[in-house]
This record gives sequence, C-alpha cells and structure tokens, in this order.
Amino acid sequence: MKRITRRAEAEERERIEALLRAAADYAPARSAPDGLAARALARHSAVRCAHGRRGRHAVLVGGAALVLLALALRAHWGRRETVVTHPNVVQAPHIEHQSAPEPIPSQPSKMVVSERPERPQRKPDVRIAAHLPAPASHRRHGLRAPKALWRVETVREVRAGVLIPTWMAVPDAEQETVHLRPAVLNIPLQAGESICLAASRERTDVKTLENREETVK
Amino acid sequence: LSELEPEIELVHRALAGEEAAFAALCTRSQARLWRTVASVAYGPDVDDLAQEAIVRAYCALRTYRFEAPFAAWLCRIALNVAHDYQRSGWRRRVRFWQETPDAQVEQTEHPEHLLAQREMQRRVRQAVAALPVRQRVPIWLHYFEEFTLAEIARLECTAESTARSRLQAGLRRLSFSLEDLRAGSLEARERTPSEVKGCQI
Repeated sequence: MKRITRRAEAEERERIEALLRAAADYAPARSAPDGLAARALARHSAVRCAHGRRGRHAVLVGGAALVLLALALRAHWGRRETVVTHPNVVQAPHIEHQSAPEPIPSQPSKMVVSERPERPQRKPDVRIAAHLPAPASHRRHGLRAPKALWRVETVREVRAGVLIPTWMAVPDAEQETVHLRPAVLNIPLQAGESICLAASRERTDVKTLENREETVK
Repeated sequence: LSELEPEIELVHRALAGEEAAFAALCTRSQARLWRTVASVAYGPDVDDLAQEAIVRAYCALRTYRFEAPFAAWLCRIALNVAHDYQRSGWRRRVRFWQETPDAQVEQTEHPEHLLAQREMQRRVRQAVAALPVRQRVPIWLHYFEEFTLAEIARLECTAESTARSRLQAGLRRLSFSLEDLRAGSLEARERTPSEVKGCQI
C-alpha cells in the first residue's frame, strides 16, 4: 500500500515538474523597453521631490484651515452674544406709548424676536428640610437626614421688539458740520420668560414680564 | 559602465549613491525581471510593476548581503511585487484584454496551439506567484530562473536542506492548485541535459 502511495506521489511530482519546466520557456509578448531602470529611478526621484512639495503644501493648507476655523468660531461666538448686528445702535428714548416720536424710517420696520442664550441656573431654592424623614438608605447606614432640599430651574427669557433703521446726526466740532450716520433704533415691546425644571425637562408657558426698555449693544 | 565590470563593484558604487551603477545592475537582470512581472500582469501594468520592482530594490539596496547573486535578489523582489499585484484590489476588479498575439505566433502554422500553450505557461507561473513567500521563491528561482538550491539557500539565509524541503512543500501545494492541468496537454519539450541540470532536486 505504501509503495502504491509513494508511486502516486512520485508521478504527481513529475507531472508538476513537467508543468514547471514547460512554463520556464515563457517569453513575454513584449520585450523589456530600453532604459527601464533609468526611467524608474527618474520617477522615484520625481516622486521624492513631490513628497517634499506636498509636505510644504500640507503645512500651508493646514495653516489656512486653522485661520478659517478660528474666524468661524469667532463669528459664531460673537453672534451668540450680540443680538443686533448693525454697527451703530442708538440708545432708545424713554418711550411713553403716546408721546413716542416717530422717526422717519428709510426702510419698513420689522419685528424682531430675539432670544437670549440660556442663563446660568438660578440660585438654588434651598429650604431647610430637617423636619423631613431621612431616606431608607440613610437610616440603614446610620446617616443623618439631609439638611436641605433644592430645586434646579432653567429660565429662558424671550423678548420681542422693533428694529428701526434710521439716520443719526453726529456734530463735528472741528469742521462745524453735522454728519449723518446710519443707525438702528431698538424698541423692545414685550418680554417674557419660561421656566424649565431640570428634573421634568418640561417648560412652563411664557409668562409676560413688564415692559422693559432695553437696548442691546 | 562596462559590461564586464564585476557585480560587487557595481553594487558598492550604487550603495555610495551612484544611480548609474544601479541602473547598470538592473539592466543586466532586466530580462529576468521583465519576464517575472510580464507573466503575472497585463498591458501597461507590466511596465509599472517592473519600475516598482526596480524602485523597491533601490530603496532596499542596503539589505543586500552579497551572498547570493544580485539577479536572484532582484528577481525575488520582482516576484514579491508580482505577488502583491495579484492580491491587489486593482487586479481583482480590473481585467485587461489579453495581449494581442505577437508576430512570432501569427507566423506559425498553429497559432491557436501556441496561444493555448502561452496561457498555460502564464497559468502555471501565476499559480507559483500565488504561493506563500517561503515556497514561491525557491520554486520560481529554481525552475524558472535556473538558480541552484545552494544559491537560493544563501539568498534566503537558510540551509540547503531547508530550501529543498520548502521547494517540495511548494510542489505539493501546486499539485492541488494545478490539478486540472495535465502535463501532456502542454507537450513539454525535451530539454537538454544542461538545461535540466539546474532543475535537479
């Protein structure tokens, strides 16, 4: 049996060797081009140079991207803090509803509803809670009752007003002339706030506050 | 550069940074290199692979240990490049049209027979190139490039017996991958004793 197996293995090996010897005669359809090595080395040198240039380009592009990112972040934060984006904002006059002077609008006025960013949380509503029974876990471990209870609220303030584009006369003392500069008049009309409990995440309705005239610069 | 200049001298000069010396070394082994990559790739990929093999050899020239012939060392690099090409996603997704028959094939009486034989040869070479590195290098260099087992063992930094056992393991593996081919279909021509000498195990 072993002899048969060995014979089969030898035959198989001879078959593969014959295939390999036949394949050794392979001749490519195209012969090797002249100057193959020189071209390869030239390409290698060019790629090496390009890698150097690519590094410099990467540094420049990275720097430009950082500058753009910084500008975008600055614009974003600036927008969050300022409601009125016009350069000149005139202090609103103390308006009585009947006696408010009518400035001549050069463009139709528009209602502006601005929302301030969320305030930091109010002062916690701390109350003495010594009279309340201690929780079961505290009693089990012999701990004392909590001293206080508190509630965390988030107050969002909403204000509505009118922005009126106008001209502002600025006297020039040196030339004794008056310059007209564009400005925006901000007249707040209504303000309200809603309270959100941190635990429930539900907001109350907007509660109207008193009319407050405030100019945001 | 002179054709008769010793190979070791050229390698030393190439190591010193002389690109012309390295180009002369590659030109001497260019036919082997080209045959290695051309039996695996098609079309313009052959040129790219040959150039990549040369660049790889140039970058790794400091690892050449002067123990085996430079041609064997360069051929091993080209074989590895061909193996990587066979496994690459580009090779798997893009199929070139096969090369047009050359003038030599067209002039024969049975061009279809010659074309079939060429395809068979390519098939066998590609099967060898797909073997693991420890088996494909001895088989390729021994059967196709006619290096002796002693030279292969020096190239691989192993004993000659190790190279022989790797070669036999590769043959066993090839018998499975080339099971559908029959030696008779190739009509393997009888080789002269001097040609067969290099292939004796």
